[in-house]
Amino acid sequence: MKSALAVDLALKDATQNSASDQQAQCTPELHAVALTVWDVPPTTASGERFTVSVGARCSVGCDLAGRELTIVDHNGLRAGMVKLGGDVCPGTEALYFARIEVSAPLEAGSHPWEARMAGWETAPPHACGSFTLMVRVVPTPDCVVTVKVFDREKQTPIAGARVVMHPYRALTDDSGIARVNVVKGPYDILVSRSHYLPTCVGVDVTADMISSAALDADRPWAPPDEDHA
Amino acid sequence: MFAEGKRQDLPSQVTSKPIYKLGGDMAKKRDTKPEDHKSQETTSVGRRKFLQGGVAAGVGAAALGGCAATSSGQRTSPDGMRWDYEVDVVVVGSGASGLPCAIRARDAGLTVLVIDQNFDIGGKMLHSGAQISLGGGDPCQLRDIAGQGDKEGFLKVPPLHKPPDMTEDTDFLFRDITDWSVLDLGGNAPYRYNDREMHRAWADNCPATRQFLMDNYVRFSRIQGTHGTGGVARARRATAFLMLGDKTDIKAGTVTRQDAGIQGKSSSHFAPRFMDSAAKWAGPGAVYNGAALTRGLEFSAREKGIQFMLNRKMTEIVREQPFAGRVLGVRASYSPRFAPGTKTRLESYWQNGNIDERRATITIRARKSLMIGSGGHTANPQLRSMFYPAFNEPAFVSSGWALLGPHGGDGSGIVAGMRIGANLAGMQQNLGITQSFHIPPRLATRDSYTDMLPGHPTFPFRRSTGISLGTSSYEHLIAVNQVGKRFYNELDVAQRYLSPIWPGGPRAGVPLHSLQHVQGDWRNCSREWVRKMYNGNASLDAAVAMNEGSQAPHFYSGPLWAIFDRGTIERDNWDIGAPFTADNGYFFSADTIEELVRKIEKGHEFQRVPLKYLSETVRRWNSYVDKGADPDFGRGKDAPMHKIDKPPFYAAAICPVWHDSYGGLRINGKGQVLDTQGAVIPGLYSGGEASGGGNQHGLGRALAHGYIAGSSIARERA
Repeated sequence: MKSALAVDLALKDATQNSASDQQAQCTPELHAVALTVWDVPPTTASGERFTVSVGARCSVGCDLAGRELTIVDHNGLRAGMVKLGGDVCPGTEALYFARIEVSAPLEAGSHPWEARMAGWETAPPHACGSFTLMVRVVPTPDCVVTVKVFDREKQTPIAGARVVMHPYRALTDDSGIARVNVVKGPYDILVSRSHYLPTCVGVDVTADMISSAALDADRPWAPPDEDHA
Repeated sequence: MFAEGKRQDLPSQVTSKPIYKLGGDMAKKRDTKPEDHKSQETTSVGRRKFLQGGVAAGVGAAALGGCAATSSGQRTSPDGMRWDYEVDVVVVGSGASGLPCAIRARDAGLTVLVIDQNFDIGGKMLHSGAQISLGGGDPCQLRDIAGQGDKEGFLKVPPLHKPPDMTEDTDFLFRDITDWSVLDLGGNAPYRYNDREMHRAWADNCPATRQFLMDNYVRFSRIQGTHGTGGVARARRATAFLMLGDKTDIKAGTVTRQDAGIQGKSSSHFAPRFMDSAAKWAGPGAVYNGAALTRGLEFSAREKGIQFMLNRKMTEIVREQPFAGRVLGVRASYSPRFAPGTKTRLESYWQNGNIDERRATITIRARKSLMIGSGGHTANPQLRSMFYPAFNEPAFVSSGWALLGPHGGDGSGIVAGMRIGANLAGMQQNLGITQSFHIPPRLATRDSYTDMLPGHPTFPFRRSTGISLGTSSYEHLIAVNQVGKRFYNELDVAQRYLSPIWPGGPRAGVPLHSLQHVQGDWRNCSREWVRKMYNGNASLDAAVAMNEGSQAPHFYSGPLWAIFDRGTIERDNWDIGAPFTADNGYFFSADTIEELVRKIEKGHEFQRVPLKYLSETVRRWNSYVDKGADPDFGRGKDAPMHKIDKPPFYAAAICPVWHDSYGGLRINGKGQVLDTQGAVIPGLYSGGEASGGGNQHGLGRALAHGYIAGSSIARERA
């Protein structure tokens, strides 16, 4: 989605380019801005406050510190606004970022929201940027599924295993136990952990329940020469 | 970097003067026998030294009434050819078939010159796992059956199998490796099409080959199962190892930690791959891989006076007539390798016995025999595509690509044989065998098979070891083709099923375990059994399939990319630093997916077309994660799905690799190359991956071939 400003600048740029090479060299090039949003929780409760990370990067790496970024909800209303910080996101070259707190919608369901950054004309001019994120509001969970994850061979608990009952997610604690708050219904319990083969078991959750997952070690890959039965 | 330790010197009785160098500064010389060497001085290294040594040797030779020689620049032999060098036996290739052949011929008193296109000895054997399945009642089996140790006392673990699991004879072994009834988990028959004469000879020579290796400084672990296509009904594999020690000393059987490499950090000139622990199969302090095998054989070869002309690529087999008569020798070209960005020529680990010949092209007469042990066609897209058209893609390389160099696995021996009328065999046998081509789960390096670390002279050619993953780690990435579209369920991309190997059973595609297995039983491949055990996987085929970026006339499938984000690194603890990745065009990071696309398009040598769908693919994938289901490839029922949204974003190359060659020159049970009429081409031998007809993975095949060819050459009348 391009703003009026972006379109105007783009047209202006194109016109100048076609006028003459000399003119074009004097024309400030329109920089694109790419936005990204992460750390969006997979589920939120109605009206829950939650925080997401937002980032913006200029196509040529301009300093975007202090630029405003707005989150717009599915009704087109502003859900939040933040100014990008002065540091770039760890591991990136020029992705300026910030954390922003917003409130989940009241109604259950998946809601498309949008992060927006307006363009500007001051040299060098920048186009606007946008990014669509999905906010999922779930009904209040009414059951707790306790999942015990352990090493099948060693019979020892596995900490830090990922337990997914879509859209709900949890991690096991040091005792190899994850508690997932869910709404009654059918689920696949997916369990994975680094260096183990993932497992999946189907369950129908009608009340609080306990399940377990025995994981087999994922054999480190060996060249065919070194395969062992 | 890693300083190289002092290398072990070869013993003083070593000589390297058995070859005619036919040049103006050469006096008459003759060949010497191994027993003659013991009173001679140590070796020449360079050409000059070689020539100086040659004069002295020539005097002695004359006294022994040696062979004729010439003082002209080249010698014109009775065949009318002008030869630069002359020797009894020329062996092309210093790998798993060439080296045993050379030693075997030398043991019979013949003069032997080994030429190799690379700068060091060993070919693919050097980067192998040194897993050697022989059998038929070989000395390692007998040793373990008797509960005995090794003569040096290195073995500290008791036998790993019960005697019945290792008890067999060569008849049993022959039946096992030609068993028509055995299938693998993909429904392929790995033993059915093996050439009967060739494998009869192979089986018959397995015990002697094992003993031969042990007699030439190869130490073997306990027998531990069998590896790919080494038969299913008995345990036959032993692994070559050395013991960690204060110095690298082949005679003593020791290697320093520095030469053995440091896990995750360094390899060495001695061992291109880290030598891992063999404690389970041999004992504490034992380390294994192809270096333990290769360096032992090399040491023995040099000690016995075999000479090597490295950096020398065979380009032509010379025969009396184009398609008739005896093979006379070879023409070979200079093929040096230089450290990237320098004029420094790479040199072999040991140099005693090397002939430093740098002329562009030379001729070498093989008075008695020529053996082609130059390896397979794994790196030749034209030959590969005879088997599988999609592998005309030059982006995909042979295993050991950096180690072997641009001519490694180029099929030159096969092509040269074809040019003088040799027949081919086993041309269908590459297909369906998971060892021949597959996708190893190692990202971000062009040679995804070989986990080379810094320290070996060829590491700078690859620059990255690669990110080694378990296949379960593919949960955290998406795999896309050259236009940025996913092509398969990522969890299956690098899955490779086990071959039918000992002890069999359903996991290996065989109904019964171990001693219960019945050779040649129809039940091994009944429809009911196949329906029950089948676990085939076509990810490789999807990976190399034509896509929207495939363009006439070649229709290259193009590079493949694993796409992931910082969330992946954090969840699965990937180490993406050096030496596992490098700025070498096989690994990229970027702030956004769009920037990642630009970097790949600009920075990868085989990214010929725009990655135009990648951004949309990532958006689509993230929407699937939101929905908890992947309608495109069925993810979501097998493992958790994760968004790719946390910057920075990464792309790491997924590289299919062609590892084994199963189609090549047709040979008989003596290792002699046959022509299209089934007649022996006089004087020409072959083995290992240069030969075909044997769908047998690994070193056991090639080592025995070399032993057979060398034995046959020794018996052949001049």
